[in-house]
Amino acid sequence: MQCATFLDKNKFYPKTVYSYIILLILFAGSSCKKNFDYHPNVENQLVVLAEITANDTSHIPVSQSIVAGSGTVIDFQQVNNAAVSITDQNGQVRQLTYNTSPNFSGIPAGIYTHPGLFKAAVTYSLQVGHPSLPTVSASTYIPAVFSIANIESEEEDFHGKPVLEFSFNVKDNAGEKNYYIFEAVKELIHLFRYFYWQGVLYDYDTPEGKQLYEHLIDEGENVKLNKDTLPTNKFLRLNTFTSDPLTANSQLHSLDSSFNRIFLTDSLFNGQTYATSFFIDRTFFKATNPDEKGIVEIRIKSVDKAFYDYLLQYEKYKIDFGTMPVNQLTTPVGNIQNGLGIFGGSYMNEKKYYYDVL
Amino acid sequence: MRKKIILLLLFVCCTSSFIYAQRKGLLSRSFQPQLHKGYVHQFLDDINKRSGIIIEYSSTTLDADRTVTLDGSETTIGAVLKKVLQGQHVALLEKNNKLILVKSASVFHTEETVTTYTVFGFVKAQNNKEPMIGASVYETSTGKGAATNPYGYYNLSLPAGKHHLEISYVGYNTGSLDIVVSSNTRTDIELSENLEKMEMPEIVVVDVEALKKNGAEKINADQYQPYNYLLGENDPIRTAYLLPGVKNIPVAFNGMFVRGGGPGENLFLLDGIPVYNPAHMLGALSIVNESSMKTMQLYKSDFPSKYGGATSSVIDIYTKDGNMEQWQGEANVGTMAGSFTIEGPLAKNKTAIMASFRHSWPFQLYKKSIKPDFYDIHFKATQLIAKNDKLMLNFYTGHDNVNQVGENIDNLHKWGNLVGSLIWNRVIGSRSFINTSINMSRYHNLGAFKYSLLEEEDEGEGGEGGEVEIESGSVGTFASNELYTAKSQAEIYVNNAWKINAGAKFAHTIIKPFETKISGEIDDDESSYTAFAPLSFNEISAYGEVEIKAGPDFFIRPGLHFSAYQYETYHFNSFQPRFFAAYRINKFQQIYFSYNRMTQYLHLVTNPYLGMNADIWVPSTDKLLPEQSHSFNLGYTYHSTNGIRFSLEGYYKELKNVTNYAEGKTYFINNENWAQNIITGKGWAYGLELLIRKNSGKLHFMGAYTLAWSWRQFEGINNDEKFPFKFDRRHSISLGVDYQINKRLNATALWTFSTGDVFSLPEYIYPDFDMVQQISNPTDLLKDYRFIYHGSENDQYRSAPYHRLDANVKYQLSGQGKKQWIFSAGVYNIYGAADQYIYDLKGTIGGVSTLIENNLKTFDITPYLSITFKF
Repeated sequence: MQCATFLDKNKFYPKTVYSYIILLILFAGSSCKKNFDYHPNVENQLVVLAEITANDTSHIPVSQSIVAGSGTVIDFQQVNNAAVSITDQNGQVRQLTYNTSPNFSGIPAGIYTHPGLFKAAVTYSLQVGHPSLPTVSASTYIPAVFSIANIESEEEDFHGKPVLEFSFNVKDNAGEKNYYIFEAVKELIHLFRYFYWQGVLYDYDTPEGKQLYEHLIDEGENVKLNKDTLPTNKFLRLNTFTSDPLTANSQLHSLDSSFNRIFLTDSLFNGQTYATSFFIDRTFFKATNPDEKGIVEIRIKSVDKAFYDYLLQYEKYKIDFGTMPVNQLTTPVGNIQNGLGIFGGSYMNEKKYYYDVL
Repeated sequence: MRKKIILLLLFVCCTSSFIYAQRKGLLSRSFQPQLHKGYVHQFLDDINKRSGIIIEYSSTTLDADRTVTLDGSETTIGAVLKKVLQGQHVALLEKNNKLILVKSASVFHTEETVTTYTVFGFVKAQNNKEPMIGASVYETSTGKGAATNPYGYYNLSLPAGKHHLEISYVGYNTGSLDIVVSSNTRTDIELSENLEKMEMPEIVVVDVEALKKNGAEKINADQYQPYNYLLGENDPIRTAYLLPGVKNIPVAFNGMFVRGGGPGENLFLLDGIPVYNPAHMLGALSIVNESSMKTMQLYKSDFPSKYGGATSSVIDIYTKDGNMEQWQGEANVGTMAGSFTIEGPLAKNKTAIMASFRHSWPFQLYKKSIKPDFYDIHFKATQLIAKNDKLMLNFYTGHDNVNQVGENIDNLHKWGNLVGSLIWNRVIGSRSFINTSINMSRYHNLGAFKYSLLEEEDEGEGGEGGEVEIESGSVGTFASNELYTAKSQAEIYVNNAWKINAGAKFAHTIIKPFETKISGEIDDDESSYTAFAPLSFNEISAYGEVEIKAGPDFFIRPGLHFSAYQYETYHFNSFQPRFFAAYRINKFQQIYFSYNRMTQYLHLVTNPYLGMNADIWVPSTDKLLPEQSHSFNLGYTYHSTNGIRFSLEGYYKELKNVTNYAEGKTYFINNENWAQNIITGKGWAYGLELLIRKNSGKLHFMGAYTLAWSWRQFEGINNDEKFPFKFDRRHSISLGVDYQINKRLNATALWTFSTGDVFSLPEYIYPDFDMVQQISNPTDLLKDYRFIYHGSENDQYRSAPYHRLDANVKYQLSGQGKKQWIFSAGVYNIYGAADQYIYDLKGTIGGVSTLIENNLKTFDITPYLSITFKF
């Protein structure tokens, strides 16, 4: 308002100017006292990190977030009191139950399971309710059945690394846009040694079982020690490499780098057969440590687009972590409404290799 | 269709101007009347008797008995008739070599009787023959005036006869000259320096403020000198940083931000040559040395048609030609660097050279957060060839090698510029000036940082756990650019009301990208970076504009800049209309308006969040389209009789295809896909800028306030929603006061303030996907970091505000003859404020998630001393 006054008079009065400057200084000075105070105005949310696969059972991990930078200890708690249900596109609902199996004890998420199998080319919707956190929901599509052919595997050397080159042809479905992910894991197995005595099964690897078995042998009893390999539901990630320039990995990092997953879309071969290969690090194929013995599983998946996008961003996140400030990391964007994470559908072709003597 | 109309209008304007310029007739014939005072018919009879020209008239046609008095300046038939027939209701026809006076309903149009001639030449400083940019040449009786162009050339159309010229320039005595104009006249003018001036140059306060012809902010080297000190180095570019709408962010490298644009959207011209990174010390100091600079013009609201290739601003620097009269020099010893400048004639009034050299000291006398190591060399040779031609050879090279080593930082920055040009100025006839040049500009840049990841160590017996490094490495980028241009720019002075500017340019650019290198230790050997195939493109541009003075108080300048771009198979044509208009409300106030469309083919891809100089220039492609801006500006200026000037300007700018600061992207992973890693988006910027200053008397001051908004929008970022630009500083204030204590001593204080920057931080942490699937990678060293940071919004937080106070005292001691000692002492950043706040998060599984705050200071509280010796 002062400006209008002195301009109207076509004159500048120095005192007015000095007053104006002083006002500016006072205004600016008062602003200086404000400091950045980081208090994100957010509440914790449910986190779902689930992949559902055709011909497999339900296995939905549910966890909850921690508010970043709040001084909270980073220790994720299993959510064991959620109400989890999955509905298919025909309205058929399956209620999942919290699984207390020791196989899931070390996971930072509660596991909810159901024995029903998923089908290909079907859309499923997930809903997770919680007593104190907002209910979350998501839906995903399990792609149609696809096949791979002309599978060949050969031991090679890739930039000095011992690898297994896995070559195959993808027979792409013409009717839909397909998103492929290739990965390799080693499923750790548990060697279960047991024997039967008087119709009762005894675990040889417990102190009591071993003591009884040795006692029976000493007594000359005809007791047979049996061996069985049981899946532990624990896996080792095997690093993969690609030289295929059509893969999205070429946009993530240099192609002589290792990746957790290989990403490919059918943009350039929709409805056709596409020949490709990728390389799997052989370092952990044969385990010297008994705890790392297992079965090498090579998985060729066709996945839902949202799932593909999430895992691609997750791959980028893992590459950049440590080399970039936290605020510069690519945040994987999922499809969970009112919550965080991903609910992704996949159809999987799997090939198993047994390198360890089990 | 719209483009065709604009072209047609330009053509019509140009054509009509030429026709008007060529009008000549009997009126231009020389004639000296015998009478000084007499009746109208006596003068007409005198012409009939002695000039050889017949004037037919009837006594009923005009009042032949009116008495007329001449002032003696009339030297042509037209000039005499102008006075004799003034106020008569007659018209003048020219037929069969006769002049016929016929009755007319309107008063005699005196302008048509007088032949105008051109007075042109150069305005130079008397002591060194340095051409003066923007000097005013003013004819007192007609009120006609002109200003010199960047090479000191002026051109003024005056009616035949005697005239009195007054020539003025800041810091120089006003010159006057009486001339008789009877033909086109070359008149070079020299002004003597005002040795009685106060230390701060006085603004020449004239009764009527010159009508604005552009929106440039013109800054002479010594105009705001007291505000420009950085640790003893006088950096004239720092004056620009004080202006509203301009921000300098030292730690952002190349750190000049204008009206919501990034540093890559400014065109920095050193004697017409583009310089890619005109900064030393990560942007804290410019490459321009005060002793070699003559004038700077900053364009941010109005872009004359000759400029292209920048969507935010143009900084046009002109350096000295060199003293044509005598040798002179200047040596400066400051806290940070030392410099030496010498200039003088190799052949008096014909050939001059100017050379300056500056180097940072190998030792540091101040508390350091960075270790600067820089130099620059500037050489210029000027050769006058005959009267109408001048050749200038320019050479500049500079290099920086900066290590930033601290508690949380280990960065290396190496960059340098090499530029050269050969410029030819030619005066063609009496109405044209042409500037032709060939230029070369090279730039190379290496930026690298070292990172380390820590893991919390198990607690010892005493319960104390530390941190142990589990992984470290470095990321480095290297790139270089080369630019070769040939251009020619002409100025055609049709008359005082019409001036045409036109020109053309060819530019060839070669960008040499290299791999982004990830290794164990920082690699500063540029040759070790793997080169990709060079990215080359060509640009041909042409421009034309007409400066029209459509009345004593109204000026318009329509123009068009056209450019054609070719990169591999991608071709792009750009028509860029420009318009500027100014209207003088009264002798104190003016309003002005401008519209600009600008196109930029080079994209500066950088990421200031990385805390390192990762600048890479890339060309436009069919996917990475050229960056474009539209801007509208409306301004108001006021000046008072006591030297106070006030301006208020509002602007709105739209940006298309901006690339800056696309978070989370890694560039040049491989040669094939680099363009896919760069995303483009939109931007908006708008705001109000206020500037008040007083440059006369003992107390000088300036105050600038900016209220600004700046936005960006990228597909796939921030849920496709717009978000604030990284340097969206809502309020910015600069306040400077300089007090002349006595003739030798003055004291200065400068305070700057701006709102903090916006930044992003994740809000949540949640478990790692693979970890939840019970998949572990035995080669992963970052087991303690197996979680995901999740951020839902971009730039949702704002840092603390920035502010800094500097003070300086300058004492001037005259020695014998030309010798002069100047002592300057001060304190930079008096209360140790930060230049930039950087926030990050820290935490490992089982540990606490906390916020980390880094306050970066290029210089902490730093006293300095500078001694300058002029000889």
